Amino acid sequence: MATRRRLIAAVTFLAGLYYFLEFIVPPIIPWRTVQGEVVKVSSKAIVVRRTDGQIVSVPIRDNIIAYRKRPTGAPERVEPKSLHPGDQVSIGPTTYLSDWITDVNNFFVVLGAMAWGMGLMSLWMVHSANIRKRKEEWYGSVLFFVAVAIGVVAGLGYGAESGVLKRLNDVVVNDVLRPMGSTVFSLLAFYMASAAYRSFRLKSREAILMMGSAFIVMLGQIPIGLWLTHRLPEPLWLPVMSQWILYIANSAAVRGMWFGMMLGAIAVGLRFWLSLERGAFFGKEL
Amino acid sequence: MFIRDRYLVYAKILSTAVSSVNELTRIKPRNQEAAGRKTWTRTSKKHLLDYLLISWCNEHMEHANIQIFIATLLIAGLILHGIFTARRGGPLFIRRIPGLTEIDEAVGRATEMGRPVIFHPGTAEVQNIGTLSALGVLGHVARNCARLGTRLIVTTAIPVVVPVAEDIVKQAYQEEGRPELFDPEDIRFLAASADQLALATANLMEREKTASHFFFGSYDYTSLLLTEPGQRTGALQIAGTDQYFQVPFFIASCDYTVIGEELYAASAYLTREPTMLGSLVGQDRAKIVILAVIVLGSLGVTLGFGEWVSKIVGVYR
Repeated sequence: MATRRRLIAAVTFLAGLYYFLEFIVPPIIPWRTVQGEVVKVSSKAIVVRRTDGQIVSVPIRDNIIAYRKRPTGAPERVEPKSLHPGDQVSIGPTTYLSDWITDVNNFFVVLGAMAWGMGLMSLWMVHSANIRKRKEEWYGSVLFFVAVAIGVVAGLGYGAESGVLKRLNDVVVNDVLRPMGSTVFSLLAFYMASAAYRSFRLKSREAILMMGSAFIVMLGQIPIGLWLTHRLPEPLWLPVMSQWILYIANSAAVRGMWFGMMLGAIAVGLRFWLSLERGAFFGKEL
Repeated sequence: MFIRDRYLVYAKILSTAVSSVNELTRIKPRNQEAAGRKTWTRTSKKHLLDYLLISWCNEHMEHANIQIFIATLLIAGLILHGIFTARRGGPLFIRRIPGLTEIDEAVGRATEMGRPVIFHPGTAEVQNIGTLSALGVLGHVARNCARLGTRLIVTTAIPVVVPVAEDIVKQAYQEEGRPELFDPEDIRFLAASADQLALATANLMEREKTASHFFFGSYDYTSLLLTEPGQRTGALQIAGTDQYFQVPFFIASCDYTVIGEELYAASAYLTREPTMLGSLVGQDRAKIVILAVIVLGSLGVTLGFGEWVSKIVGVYR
């Protein structure tokens, strides 16, 4: 058991170490990076004028990558041969870490796909037990299996251009699932109204403040808010006050929450990466 | 903040107020492009220093610049220092978090009523920090349920969560010496999408007449679809999420709500392990450092040292 925990801890550390290094280590080897303006592009080399005025020729090889600076300032990775004279560029040999990120991410996607079978197993176990033991509303479980069978057959028509299966797929997805999803989503409107009715009570000063700001923000979103206050000075217009509450007062509070959450996420990530998490995942010392 | 001290709370309020005032009063350059070009064309003799100091990563932080590297090491160092200091002993004070304190009460309520408990670990993938934190809370809830002999039902729309949750609950029942009470059919993958899961969970609440509901993790718009039907059944509901858009809905429809970083601290709070409590202390120290940077940076920009501050902090406009 201890060996199993240590193995899990070791694999977790190595996997996390890759992502950490991929973020921290620059994509191009720093001491061999050439930064500046592109002067000339040929099939064999890129000529760059560095920031100190020196002209450097960078031969194009398989391990050479280039980052071009967009007008907004953010970098974008480009093929060296697609550079143009005048581009602000950072070019040099790659550290390879970023080149593997797609493959590593795909690995985890494949692992996740394997787990879909477990979800189906869980559903199978529950519903087959319902039918076998004739529990209450067991016919619902029969309908479940019928629906799974229809869904699997309809899924065969996904991506097809014509035919019975494509028609079945269209009916199941567009004519059944999507309207049902919209119906469920529309329930939110009624649930929001009932939750607001139940919770918005003027019990304290803070509650009154919250009600008042909610009233201003909600009216500020609709035309009647402007209609009610358009004769007042502009700072007192409901839409203007609503924007101030949302983007000035509220943003300060949200930023405070974000700081805390981001630090908490870093702490949790560190605990998991170094296998220091105790409780559900690692019950005892390693 | 988890360590007390009203002065630290005041400093936090002050820093957010300063940043808001700074936001209101900052003067935007007329020509954003010119401002960016001016920063970029500043020359330096040392190429490595140029690369390190002049950040490429204005909008899309694909890779860290030197400032982020230093900040990462500093924050990680403070957290690790807190952990290793806590391991050496000595009591650590963590303020009370009502939502987490009432978890035991909620399980006890379900036991007295003879009804099961529902736990929902969020709608995000298992590698999401919120889901991982929620699974930590699940372990604690499962141990309580095992100790009191209460049935625990876990529902999820994420297939990968099923075996993880099953392992956690099974381990909890075994540790409490009640392995016979564990039923793998109570760990349920009910539907593939969050809204379908919400309806299925609501149906489960009505059918099984559950007494307590726990909603921990990352939630999307389906949060209210889960909690409102639960409110109608009269169950005691405790929710915790790191998605601040969903916090108001949980506050409106649940009895107790755990907000943001409190969810991440849940495992530490519930287990009271020195390692975990130490990380909370380290976290708060890192928060103080960030507050100091905000205050000093805002003062610096206000007093006209904007360029120096931008260069040191690594923000380029």
